[in-house]
Amino acid sequence: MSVWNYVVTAHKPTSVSHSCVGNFTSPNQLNLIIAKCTRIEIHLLTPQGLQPMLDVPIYGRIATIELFRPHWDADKSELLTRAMGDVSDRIGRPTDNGQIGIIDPDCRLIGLHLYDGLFKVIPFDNKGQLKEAFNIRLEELQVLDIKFLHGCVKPTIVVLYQDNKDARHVKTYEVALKEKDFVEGPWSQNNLDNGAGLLIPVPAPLGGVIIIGEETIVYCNANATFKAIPIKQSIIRAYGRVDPDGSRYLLGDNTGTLHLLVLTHERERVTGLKVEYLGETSIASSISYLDNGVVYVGSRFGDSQLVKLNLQADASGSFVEVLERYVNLGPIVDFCVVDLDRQGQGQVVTCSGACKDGSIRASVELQGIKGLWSLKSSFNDPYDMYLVVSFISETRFLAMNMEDELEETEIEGFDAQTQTLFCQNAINDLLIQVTANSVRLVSCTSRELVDQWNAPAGFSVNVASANASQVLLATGGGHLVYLEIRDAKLVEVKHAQLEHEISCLDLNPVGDNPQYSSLAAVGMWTDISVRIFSLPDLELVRKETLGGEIVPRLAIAKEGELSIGTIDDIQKLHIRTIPLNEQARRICHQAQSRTLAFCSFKYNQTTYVLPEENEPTKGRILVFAVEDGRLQLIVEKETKGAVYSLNAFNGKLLAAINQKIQLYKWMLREDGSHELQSECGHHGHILALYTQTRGDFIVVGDLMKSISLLVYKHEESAIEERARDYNANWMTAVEMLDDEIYIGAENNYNLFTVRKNSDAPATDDERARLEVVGEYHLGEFVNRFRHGSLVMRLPDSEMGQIPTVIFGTINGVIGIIASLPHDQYVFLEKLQSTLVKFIKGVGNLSHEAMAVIP
Amino acid sequence: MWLEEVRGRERGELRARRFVAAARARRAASLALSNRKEFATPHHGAVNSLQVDLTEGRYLLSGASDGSAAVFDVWNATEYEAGFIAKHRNILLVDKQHENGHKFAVSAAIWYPVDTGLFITGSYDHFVKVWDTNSTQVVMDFKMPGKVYAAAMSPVATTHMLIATGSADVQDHMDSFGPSPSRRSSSTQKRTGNARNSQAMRKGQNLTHGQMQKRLHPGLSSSQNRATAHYGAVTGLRTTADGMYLLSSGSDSRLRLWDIDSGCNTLVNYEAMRLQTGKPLQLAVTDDPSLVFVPCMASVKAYNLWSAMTFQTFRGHYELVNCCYYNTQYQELYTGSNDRQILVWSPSTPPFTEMEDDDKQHGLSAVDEDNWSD
Repeated sequence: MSVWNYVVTAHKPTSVSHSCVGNFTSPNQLNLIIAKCTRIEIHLLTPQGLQPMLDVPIYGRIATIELFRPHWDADKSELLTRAMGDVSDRIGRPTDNGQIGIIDPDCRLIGLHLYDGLFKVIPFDNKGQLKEAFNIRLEELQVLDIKFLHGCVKPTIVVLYQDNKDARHVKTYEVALKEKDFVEGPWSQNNLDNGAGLLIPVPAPLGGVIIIGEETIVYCNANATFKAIPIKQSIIRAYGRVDPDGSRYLLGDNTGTLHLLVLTHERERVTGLKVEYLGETSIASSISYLDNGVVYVGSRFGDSQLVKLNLQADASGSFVEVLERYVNLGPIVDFCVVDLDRQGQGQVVTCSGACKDGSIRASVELQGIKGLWSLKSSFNDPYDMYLVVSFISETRFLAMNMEDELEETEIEGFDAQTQTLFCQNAINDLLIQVTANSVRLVSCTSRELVDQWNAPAGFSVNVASANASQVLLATGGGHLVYLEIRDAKLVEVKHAQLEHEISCLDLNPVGDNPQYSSLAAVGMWTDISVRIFSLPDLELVRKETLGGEIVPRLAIAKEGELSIGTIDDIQKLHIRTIPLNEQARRICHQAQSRTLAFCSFKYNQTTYVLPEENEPTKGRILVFAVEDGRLQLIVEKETKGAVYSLNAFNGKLLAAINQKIQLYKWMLREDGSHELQSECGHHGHILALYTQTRGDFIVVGDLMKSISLLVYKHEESAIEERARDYNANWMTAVEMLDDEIYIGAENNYNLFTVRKNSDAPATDDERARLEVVGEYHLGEFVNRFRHGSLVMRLPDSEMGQIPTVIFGTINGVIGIIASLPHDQYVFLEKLQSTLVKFIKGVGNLSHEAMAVIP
Repeated sequence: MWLEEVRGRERGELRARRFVAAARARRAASLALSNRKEFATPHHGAVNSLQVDLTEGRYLLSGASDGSAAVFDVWNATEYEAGFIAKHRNILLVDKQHENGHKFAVSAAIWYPVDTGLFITGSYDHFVKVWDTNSTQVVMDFKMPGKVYAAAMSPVATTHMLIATGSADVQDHMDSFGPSPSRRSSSTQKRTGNARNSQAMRKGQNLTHGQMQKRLHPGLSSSQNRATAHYGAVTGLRTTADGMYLLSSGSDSRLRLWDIDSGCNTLVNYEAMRLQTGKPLQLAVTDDPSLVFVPCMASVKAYNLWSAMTFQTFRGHYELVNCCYYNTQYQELYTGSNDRQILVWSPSTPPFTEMEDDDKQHGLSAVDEDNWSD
């Protein structure tokens, strides 16, 4: 049992919430900036496509992101936090509709709507520095959107709000900076579309605002221009401006349809609106028009896309051509960990995406990769064909197939049972593989072993480097061995012994011959120097001492920590996608039949919702058998409420139905058919949403009453409450880490662990209480925990003994919680605090402030 | 709808905050007299004051006209009647028989906001008393110049530990109580596991014990609105949880909503009501804030805070209702009345699910049936 749980992320958030486009990194570079929950990605637009420039973590959740070009323009170089500050208030109720952050188009102030009834203003002074913020009372209580209007003498906001009769209106206010108050604005518009939810400010000289409803789109401005156009009912969530003058916009709706909205105008007077169908994309959460008809579509429900808008429609009438897809696992609604290859390495199979972008995705963890090389199928082939992935105890080979997808393959002549140190294409259509024991030469065409050089007994190769015709390797004790490839044979040319251990080698051809190098670079441990040797005679040419400034790196290169230092580069999940075009809701795996069952939106809905009733008052439990790859319905049981969760429990079935936990027996009827018979139950929950079981114990995650622990008593055939956590946590997932520690995820993006008090002297009150032993602010909404491991488990290694739980989140994060022995936990914690000192999050938000539960 | 909301949240379509707000609002809108939960009061007089502790949300403190104060565990029932009606008996009682008990009616009973180790009672016997919950002893008392009608402590203050009291004197009073003996403060910590306690106690030492004048009513001090707040006595005050608004009830049978920042009357015109005139009333507000609960003679009315319409009338008490307390954590309303009862109004959503084996369960705890009397 361990209470020391360490949380790591295996797959970063992929769900895109915001994006914007502009000249950020330099006045003449066009950038796409993407917000992915807790990360900001900056891309550069190049003729070849999007080129990633920067991916930085923010120790916080991004609520809003805006690009602006100040008049007090200064020189730009790297990502610097210009200004930051805490804008929280002690009074006021945080808005339920999400935070709004906007910047005046003339850069006079920043406006924030964070609390109901309050509008916070942060003015800029004429040097571009932020001045002291103040609040203005906003009479409108249910604010849906706020935007700044363009081309106004005084900073003016337009507010879309709902009144207490559920009617929606817009109103304008001028911000009087001196008086720190609002002045009634130039115009307002009452009784809009009931579904109006989005405002698009139109740049000057047209000015005004477009109000997007569910059935109409309206344009209005200060000159009492009012233009409306009906649209097919849809909820538009995202827009992107096409032209700087604001006459065309791209709109993305909740079905993934992309429309073009055109503002027809005569000079500066808007004469009408036009909406045109463009085609289908992923369901957009953000749209950024890049250039030349290329558009980035960011999505939270499916893969983000780079699309091209063509001038001519294709055969299906679509103007949209998808250029690229960016994988998004989110929202991970459910997942299971399966070991299809039965090799001890888990695959995570997720129910990803929502609505029409739903899919099942299998992710293979490539964490623990020690090296990655690409190889060509022949020496003169311009493209790489194979990908060699090296793990601690094996090497895997991936090859491009006909569909340009990576597929696992075999290279017979290579040693797949050990870690690969180096790989390289060599002359004569050969492939070189260096492992700890040998150097192997393999033919590209037959894939068979041609020649082999074995390390001397008692020594193993630590580091190696090679080019097309030479191999340089170092074994323990400072031995340096130089080999050459001559007539498809490996020839040991020279051997040297150095006074220190060798840390790294390089043999890149320098000079005219691209296949042969006359110099080799060798990095040394103890004296921290780099030495240059001449080849083939291994004579020392030059020695350069690096000095002591590389301490952190050394720290990183110690065994066991190596993977941490390189996590960001190669820690990747290889993801396979099965699109469903509908949402997958639940998934489970049956090992005996090797089948995955998933329940999707369209089928198998086990709850009846009668039109007149708000509440599901009836549900069904359906039992299927898997026979020959087909599902067969055996038993159907009606329940008096919605079934939120099902668990196998002591050979019986445990169901969470509204506020009750119900246990069913599997009974054989006289006629040979089966039935589910109710055995016992437990009341006392507000809504029992999540259940997990272990032995005779059941943990229940309640809608709002945190975690409770129930026990099933066989003799009495009853379920009783054993203990509960009395905190008011709104649960989103639960799991039992072991017999005594349970983990929960709650609505405010936190994780916490509780412990059962089983010590004898504890009083009744303490025994009935689950003690909170750990709290962690993850900043991610967890939908599911599952026991399992993504890394290859080796029975004899230390890692194999550490229990791990995997979690999946709405933003597509896959994370791991490892229950560590205390000393390892302390070590990792120290390492983390050291790393945090070196790796600064953008925005000066502190990692501690994020990691501690607010 | 619950199912759809849970699924919407799972997909990320429904924001986590909105989910909570919608669930709370939905439950608040379905309040009805609970047929699952009862408080068995030990009071022999009108129940005047009700409050659940602010740290755990677990202990309900009541003060009554017979000079008694009691504490109930709102989570764990003492016993079950007929197997499923949770009966909550008092776990603590201080009454006239107690050596330090109040001689006359307890008009106010409030928790120390920092932990459940202390509570405060104010009485018509002119005394304000601070009690140690664990030992049920008076830690300190304050003699006021007249009858004490009301007492309050700031739930957010970090630099003082003042008790505001309203008494039959011309001025309102703020009393400060110093640190409890260290033995006690450690015992209170143990009970709640709350480490903030000792720090707050120390901070309290720096304050002088004194009287300060407090402006009772923002309406009176308003420069823009000089109209009288109420034509008659102000009988009840309640701020919204966000600290932006103040509600007042008056003997003119009016309820008014004030903007605290400007001190102005918001001019929300609440539907006609009839209020008790001779006694302080304890109002309650949901945390959104969307509903205000007002004791209206023998019933309690819930008004929509913004539209000012009557949302619901709660009838169940036999005599005048004095106080209501809304438990925001689990959306339950507790009301206290001259009929000496504390009634529980709980959400009826999601609907209670009866199962086929429920009868069997009832049999198990039927033993308790004979034990209860009231």
